[in-house]
Amino acid sequence: MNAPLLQVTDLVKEFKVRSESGKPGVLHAVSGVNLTLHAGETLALVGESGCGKSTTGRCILRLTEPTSGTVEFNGTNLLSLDHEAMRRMRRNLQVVFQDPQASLHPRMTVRRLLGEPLEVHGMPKAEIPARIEELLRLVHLRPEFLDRYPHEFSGGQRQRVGIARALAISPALLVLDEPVSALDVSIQSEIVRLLIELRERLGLSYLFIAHDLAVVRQLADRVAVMYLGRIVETGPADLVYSNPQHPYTQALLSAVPIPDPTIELARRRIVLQGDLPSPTDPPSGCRFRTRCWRADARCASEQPLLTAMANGQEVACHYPGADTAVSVASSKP
Amino acid sequence: MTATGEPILRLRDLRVTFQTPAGPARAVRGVDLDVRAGESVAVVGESGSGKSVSMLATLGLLHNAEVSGSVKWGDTELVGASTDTLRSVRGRRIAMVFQDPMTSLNPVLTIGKQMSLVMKAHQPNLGKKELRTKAVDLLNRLAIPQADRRIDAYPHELSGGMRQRVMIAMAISNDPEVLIADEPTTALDVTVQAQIMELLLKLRNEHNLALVLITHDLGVVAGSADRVAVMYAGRIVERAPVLGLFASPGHPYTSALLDCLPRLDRRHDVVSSIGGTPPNPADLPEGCPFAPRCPKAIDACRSDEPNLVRIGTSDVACSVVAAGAAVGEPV
Repeated sequence: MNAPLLQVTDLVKEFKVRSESGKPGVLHAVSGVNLTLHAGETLALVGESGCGKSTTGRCILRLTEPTSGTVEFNGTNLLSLDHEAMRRMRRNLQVVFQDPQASLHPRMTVRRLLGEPLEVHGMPKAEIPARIEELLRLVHLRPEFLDRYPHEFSGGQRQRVGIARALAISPALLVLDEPVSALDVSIQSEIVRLLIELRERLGLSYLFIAHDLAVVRQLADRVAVMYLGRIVETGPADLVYSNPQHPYTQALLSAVPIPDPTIELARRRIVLQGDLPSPTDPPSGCRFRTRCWRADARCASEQPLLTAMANGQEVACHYPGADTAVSVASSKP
Repeated sequence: MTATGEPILRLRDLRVTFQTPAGPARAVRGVDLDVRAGESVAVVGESGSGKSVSMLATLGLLHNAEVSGSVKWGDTELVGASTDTLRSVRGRRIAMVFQDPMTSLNPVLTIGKQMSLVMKAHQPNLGKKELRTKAVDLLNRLAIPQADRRIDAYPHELSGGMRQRVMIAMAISNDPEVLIADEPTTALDVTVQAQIMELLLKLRNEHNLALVLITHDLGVVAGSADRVAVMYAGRIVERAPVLGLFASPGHPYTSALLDCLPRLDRRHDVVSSIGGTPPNPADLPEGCPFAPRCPKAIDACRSDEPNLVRIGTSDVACSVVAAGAAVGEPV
């Protein structure tokens, strides 16, 4: 296999916090994450609020400085780059955020929003108008939209502008942080379709950060499931969805509703007990053990490491195994 | 489960109009809906379809809006009712849970204090001790661990799922007969959503509660509703039992919506989408409001807005579908 496009090793991000009583503490947001993304691939980083998936994405882009670890892009460790080198490197890695309303400048027209990254990265002025029009076509927006402001667009159109802006300087990798979560379902599917189309057309790689596992299934090649700062399971998407090995993955998948009442009535749902523990005081050993029905003394004392299985899946659990009653069988459309 | 018997809540030709700088916005345009004891009715639609506004109007919670039509709680008319009448029904007979518990709970009062206030409003004879016992009991019923301690906590000390449970506990504290839940799990993670939906259905079963679930999530609907009303541009475009709706959607909008849902259990070869956007309620097109996005639309759809017509077990508001089916009595 070729060298990976992106290789994240032992990524750690800790935030210094103060408890309500004023006692200093440490919030363990990301605790030793490893990720590999090959060119042309879509890796989905999934998990619930507070699992550290967005922080991981921000650390990769150095929008947040990681505490330790390495992030190699095409063999270069991004964390060793100085400010100017990192700025040049960013033409290869771009980001699309959840809420285009918040991430697009409200007083810039689409023309300026798309032109700015081109100027910053040194495109000759004469070439910029043609590139802007090309970008607009790429995301299927009409040329007359060029002189409008973000508030004049619908949510879906705004997200198209956000994607066009990220694509302006032809990056190789897009970090998509919940790009469709704020949109209505009928609009969501349009953006998902656009992302699939762009990936094929431009040979892009995606790090797709999302909590919606049904959306992720539509475009991920591989999935990494996070819980409380750690990856608990990763592997080819079809395998993880059809045969989850980690109890948390099983609970997570079983909780996602399927829009089919006959399937819903027949499904067994694992309803997790209790709440997510605080990342300022994560459980010892396996971080999922406080809510796990398989946990025993070993899980409290020994941290399970991601271990590869024969089929390419990797699981961080002392007692991995299929739970046939809850796996989501693939059904033919 | 299909509930029978007289509806306890009956909406007829409910209309809501807001005055906006762009002219009158007709957010709800003639909604008919019956809710019976022990059943779970889902009102589904995208942003701006009028699903929340119609339920807020039901409870007289809209100000600066023109509300017309009829909402009957038993024999009591709620549209245009006096504040006293509304107060005797609201929270007592019909309770509501909102999407975001953080904005619905008072941040400076303890959970127990807020629960007591809600109970005292309708059961003034309850003493301090009784109120506390009842509150702890309610929190226990909603599976809140260490309820006797949590009752003295402030909202910010609880997780999102826990806060939503407190909201539900408050909503059922006066033993209402109808619980309207407006996107009760939208702000929550999916594993927490599973916990909350399980609780709501348990309450429905144990108390013969009528549950009105306002949601955009057809996955949640599939697992928890008996009947479904699909709204588009302020009207119900399809009303059907849950199995029928998913097995053979009647309205082209329902079909299109189901087709574009991403599914956990399959990867679609082609991701379909509806195209276009829902109309602006201040500038509705003539005829059927879905016509500009509808693959089945014919000329007539652009001039006449169809009414709900019974087709099999469903009521569908579509001229094309109605023309192609054996038409029964209009409803």
